Amino acid sequence: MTTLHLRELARRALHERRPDPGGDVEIERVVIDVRLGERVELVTLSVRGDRLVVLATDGTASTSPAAHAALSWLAADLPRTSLVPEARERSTRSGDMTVVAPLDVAIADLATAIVRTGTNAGEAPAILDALARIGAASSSLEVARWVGRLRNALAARDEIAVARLLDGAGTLEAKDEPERVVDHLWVELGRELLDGLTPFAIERRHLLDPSSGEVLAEERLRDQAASNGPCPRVVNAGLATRSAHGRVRIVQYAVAELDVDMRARIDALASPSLADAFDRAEKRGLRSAAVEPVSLVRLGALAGGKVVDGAGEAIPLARHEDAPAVTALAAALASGAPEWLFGRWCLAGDTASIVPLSCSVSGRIVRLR
Amino acid sequence: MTSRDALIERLAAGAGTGDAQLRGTLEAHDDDRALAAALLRQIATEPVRLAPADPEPARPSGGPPTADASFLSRLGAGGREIGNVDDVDTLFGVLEGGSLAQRRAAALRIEQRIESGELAPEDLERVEAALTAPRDPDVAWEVLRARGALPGAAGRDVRTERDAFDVLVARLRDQVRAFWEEDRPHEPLSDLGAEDLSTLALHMRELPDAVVAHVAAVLEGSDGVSDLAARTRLASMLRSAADPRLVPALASLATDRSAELARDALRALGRIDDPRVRSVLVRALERSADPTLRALAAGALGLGGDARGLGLLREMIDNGDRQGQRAAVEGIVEIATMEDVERLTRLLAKPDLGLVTHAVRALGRIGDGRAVAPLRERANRSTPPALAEEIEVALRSITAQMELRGEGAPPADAPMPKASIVRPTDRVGVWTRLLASLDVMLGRLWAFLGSPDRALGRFESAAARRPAWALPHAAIAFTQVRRGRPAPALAAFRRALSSDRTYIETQSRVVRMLARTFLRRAEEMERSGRRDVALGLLEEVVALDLRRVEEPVRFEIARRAERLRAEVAT
Repeated sequence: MTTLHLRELARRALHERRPDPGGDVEIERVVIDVRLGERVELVTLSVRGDRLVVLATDGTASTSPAAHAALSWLAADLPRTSLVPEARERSTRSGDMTVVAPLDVAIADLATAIVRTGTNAGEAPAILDALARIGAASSSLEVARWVGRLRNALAARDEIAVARLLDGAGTLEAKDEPERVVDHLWVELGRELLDGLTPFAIERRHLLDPSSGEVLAEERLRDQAASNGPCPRVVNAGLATRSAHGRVRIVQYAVAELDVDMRARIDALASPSLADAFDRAEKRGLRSAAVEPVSLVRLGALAGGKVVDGAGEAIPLARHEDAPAVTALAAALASGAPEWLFGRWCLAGDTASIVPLSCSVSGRIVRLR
Repeated sequence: MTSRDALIERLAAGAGTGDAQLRGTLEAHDDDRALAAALLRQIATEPVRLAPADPEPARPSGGPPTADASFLSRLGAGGREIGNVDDVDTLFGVLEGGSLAQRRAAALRIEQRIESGELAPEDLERVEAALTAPRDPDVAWEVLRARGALPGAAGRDVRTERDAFDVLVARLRDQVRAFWEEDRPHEPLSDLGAEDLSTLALHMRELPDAVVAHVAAVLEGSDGVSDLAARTRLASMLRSAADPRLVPALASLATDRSAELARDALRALGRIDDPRVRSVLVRALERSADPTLRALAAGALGLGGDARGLGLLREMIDNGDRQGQRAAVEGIVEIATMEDVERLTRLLAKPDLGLVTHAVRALGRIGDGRAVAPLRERANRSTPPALAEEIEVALRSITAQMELRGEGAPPADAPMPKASIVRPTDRVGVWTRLLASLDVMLGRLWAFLGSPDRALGRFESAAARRPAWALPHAAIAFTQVRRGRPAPALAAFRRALSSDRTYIETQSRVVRMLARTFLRRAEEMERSGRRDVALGLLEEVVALDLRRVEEPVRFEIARRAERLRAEVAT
């Protein structure tokens, strides 16, 4: 029934469209979701020369029931009954064949689809479909951010980053109960919009613990509530919860400005060198799919236009992710005495660099993102 | 064993199904999911290393290369080379006819020249006249700085206003701290009147970091109090603020679901000289589904010398709907070329005042002498003073550019009309005049002694004796304003205007109070949802010669009227 429904909807949509603009059009590949009981299998049918190449997630082309169903449907040879029992249709969304799959299954489907089609193919329909199923399977911001990172890696054709994110996806959505935190002080030193299921969907606030130097993240969707306050600010949390991977939810809190003492504490917490900050970031989970570590690095005076750490080593800055912020950082540092850089680590291939979030110059904190 | 690089290549190209070689390399995985997982695991286990630090690339200056070898073009779009120009007349020309960055740089260079003490007295007089001429709000802060450096009364006025601004900032600083730290229920910016907010926006670059961070928090919706209307109001006031500290907040608004917020954010971003702005605007131009947003993004890029959206804007002007056309004309102001003169001249006959105003600005920025005659013709029709002022600014810009290009000034065969009204005859006897003057004197005395009711009685008496004398009406209005009664003050101002408009327009103190009162009343009306009434009030005051009104107030009136016109029209 669902299959027939899709055809009917397609006919209707075609009827409502403007006339064909003309030109030579050839359909070279279709990707079809086939539901077989509880499972949803992907079948890709593509034309290579005079040959039809059939790929299915449930076995080889000759033995796959999903491939058989897809071929029957494409050849308009399907019996007028669906392979899917009536009772199962309730879990499908109206208008298409997308189903809400469990997260693990959806991620595994995505990994399979990406390995099959390759990163050079960009966001192939099978990949888009699997991403949509992941979005439907989880409302977690952690998962949404992971999707955003994966899409960016695919767009950049960064195979290593894609592999790392897919390989580490099993750590997403930790099952541990959030830890309750009472009477704790944090300093927000950075705030940025990040890609999630859609571009710029997530606002992340980076909160530095002035007692330990650890940096946590408070996140929200653009239309969701979170703690209020400007950036930078001191957050005196009466009650908060902290989940795995350093996410925090602030429930009761008071906001204050950064005073001289707090600034001195922040200065003292800065890693003396980039190597030290890198080591800490690695321990924190630099390669993790769920964590994007943030570091506070002491800066030295600009050396020939280069941003250097306290030991005089040049700091690799993530121009590939936010070149304008890197330029703004250089301009800010040139305006006074550089003190520290607060930045998020990111990986391109197997190399790490820092996306600048904020910096301190001559006692002033400059927000960069 | 296949090397890791080969595996990465397989991932890039796509492994497909039944790839026996890959299965052999990654052990025997019959299941495709297991094969995929094994491949990804193999690739992902590489250790991470630090990227090499790239040298800072040279920042492009002066915009794209151009074949135009004129003086303005050689100055560069960024106007950085203007620091070498000493000639005051050249600086005036750039201030009138340059790009936004050039105009700003010219004003700051004039400030330097004044402070250096090298200008002759006659040059200082010319500088003073040039700096007090009406011009666009985008260079108002720089011009104000230059005026503040002037010796004598001109500079003193600015410095006096500066003292009031310092008081305002100190008060706001305390209120912001109290709002966050003492959990006050009222967001301090929402308590400010339009005039104070406009002043803050004009001087945004001088505000303390804590106040700017608070403004950013309100814009981002992180203050917990401000609704969408309050955020939109604030964003619209920051159009000419030009403060790079607001870039992160404005950039986040540029992708906001509210198109209104996004529009104002794009307008404000285009006027900020900061490397982070361009990528935000390019993204909005290329990815936004809303044609109005794309037009504004194209215009905002144009303010920075990037004309990539010119084709889109021309298309929208020629074929767009009313709203799209309006946005496109607003957008094309800084990037229109001589090719656009006819296209824009045609718009001068349109009834939409907002559209015509932007077309006038664009023609001024192009600097083509062919636009002089149509502009003068438009000015000779029944033209509201605000538009007449825009035309005056545009004509000055054209003249300046033609002179800088060595083409000489356009012929002055069509003189500019005066916007003022002929003064009505005041035919009363000498005795009546004396009695009326006595009433006014006594009224002022009562007002000084703190008895407004008695003062009002005397002023009313004077007005009754000499209805065509504007002064007692203005005095009544002043007294009512001081008593906190703007409604009767408006009526008195209107009587004063109908008695002697020229007098009111030429008395700085009176016209300033009038403008402020109308603006505040319009703000109240708008807040209570009566936008038509608010627009009517602003249209009334826009119809006056406001050259003597403080710039923040004048700009705010024009900006608010423009916004309301657009809102009411839709």
